[in-house]
Amino acid sequence: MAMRQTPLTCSGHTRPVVDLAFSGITPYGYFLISACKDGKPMLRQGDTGDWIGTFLGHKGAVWGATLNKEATKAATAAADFTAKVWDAVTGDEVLTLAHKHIVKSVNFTQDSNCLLTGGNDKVLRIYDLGKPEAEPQEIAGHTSAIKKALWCNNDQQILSAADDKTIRLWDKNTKEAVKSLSFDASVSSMEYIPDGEVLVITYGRTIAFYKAHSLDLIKTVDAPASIHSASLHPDKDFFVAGGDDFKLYKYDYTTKEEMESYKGHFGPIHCVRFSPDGELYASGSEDGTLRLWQTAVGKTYGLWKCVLPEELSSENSEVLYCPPAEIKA
Amino acid sequence: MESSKEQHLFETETCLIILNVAFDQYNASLLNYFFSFLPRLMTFILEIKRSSGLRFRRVLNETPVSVLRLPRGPEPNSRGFDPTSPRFIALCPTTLPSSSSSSSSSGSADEEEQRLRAELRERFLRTLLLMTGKRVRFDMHEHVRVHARFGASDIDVLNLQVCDLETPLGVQREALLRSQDVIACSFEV
Repeated sequence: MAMRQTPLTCSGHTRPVVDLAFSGITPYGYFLISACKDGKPMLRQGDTGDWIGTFLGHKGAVWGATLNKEATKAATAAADFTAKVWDAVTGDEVLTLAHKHIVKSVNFTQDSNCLLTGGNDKVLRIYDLGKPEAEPQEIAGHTSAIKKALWCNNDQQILSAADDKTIRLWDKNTKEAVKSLSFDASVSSMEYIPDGEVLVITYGRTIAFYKAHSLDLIKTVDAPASIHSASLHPDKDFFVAGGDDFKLYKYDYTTKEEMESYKGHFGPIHCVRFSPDGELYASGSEDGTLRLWQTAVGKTYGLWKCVLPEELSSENSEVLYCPPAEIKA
Repeated sequence: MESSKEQHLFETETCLIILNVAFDQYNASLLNYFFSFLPRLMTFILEIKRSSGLRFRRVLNETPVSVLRLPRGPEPNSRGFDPTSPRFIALCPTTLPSSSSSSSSSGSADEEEQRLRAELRERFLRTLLLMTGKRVRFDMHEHVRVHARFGASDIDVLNLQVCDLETPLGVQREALLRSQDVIACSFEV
């Protein structure tokens, strides 16, 4: 019997959700942080979407947010020209790092000791969180605003995507650009998968996969609409992408075939990410909501419950919430 | 049964299209504008009627996945991070010792600390009292050193009221000094 996907809607934000990130798997599950233009990033339980807390302190739209692997620290990048580091357990602000322009991207190293920031001042900065008063190491080279900056290759190299339509690979120690990729359109998103060293890049209607070390192209896939973000499943079976047409597309990674498309959001999708265990993926949209979608539709996981037809008609069905039938165009 | 409803829909749509074309010919522009929406409106209404009872042409035999509950949303008056959650208790360092075996000794250590705190606070308040009316030297940030006659402080010791403040620009009859700017103050007893 075919099951229809029921997305879980996480409300709370009042403005578009522009970035989201998952933590690693911790003894308390995994967590999700969402960056929103209302300036109040939120921490949620990753598998259920339950709100845990809001990080209060930014005075402008938050453009980027990230969690460290253990979900003990969070970092956010905002339009108030600061990046902040937070304690993700208490919600307290730990550090404010002043910048000279809007900060767009933040990323922790695997050991959570260093923070990489990038923004509209076109400079990448590396902060040592053990010595926060020390000046950050700076890497300049991009000719326009940096959209995304990530650590890669065991935190020895840095990948940055900017509005100058290039992606550059930098060596952390020499601060030189080792490799560069140019595109015709501006890169809308970038994701790095450490296991397998794969880089997922979206630009225009294309989702492209590259080898992170060499920046060699693996494959490209074209979508029906302009794509803002894509994410590859940890097992590399499929990937999901979302963009301007409000739909989420699911593709088979090996065959590049479109498997499914899901409607649900009421605005363009800005970010999509798979959870660390690959059981669900989260999407953030212009409509101010986050939605959690199941990878294996119908499986019992988190708040989703696999229900057999006999159970639906029995007395036990009161405990279950059945979503109303939607009109599917 | 489905085919008769489809037939009905087709007939309705056709009638409306004919009506629309007829009005076009008469160039009744306002009515024409209204009637151009009518076919779409009728289609929409018929689709609603369909969904309440029948299955769709395309979506057949699909059951939506059941959900135990919806994700919990933010609390309106709190920023969250529940201190009673297991993760908070496990990961947050507490100032109070948690082991039960040393509870008696820890209790007395707390009391001792509280006693010392109270004593220091009393000494500070008595110093402030003694300072009133006296000529005090304030050492402030940026190597600023000024003399003034101390008047009073506010309840939270955020501001210090002084008279005859000697500044490089002259003597201020009355002034308020911000306590967070003051590093040290000294005076003759």
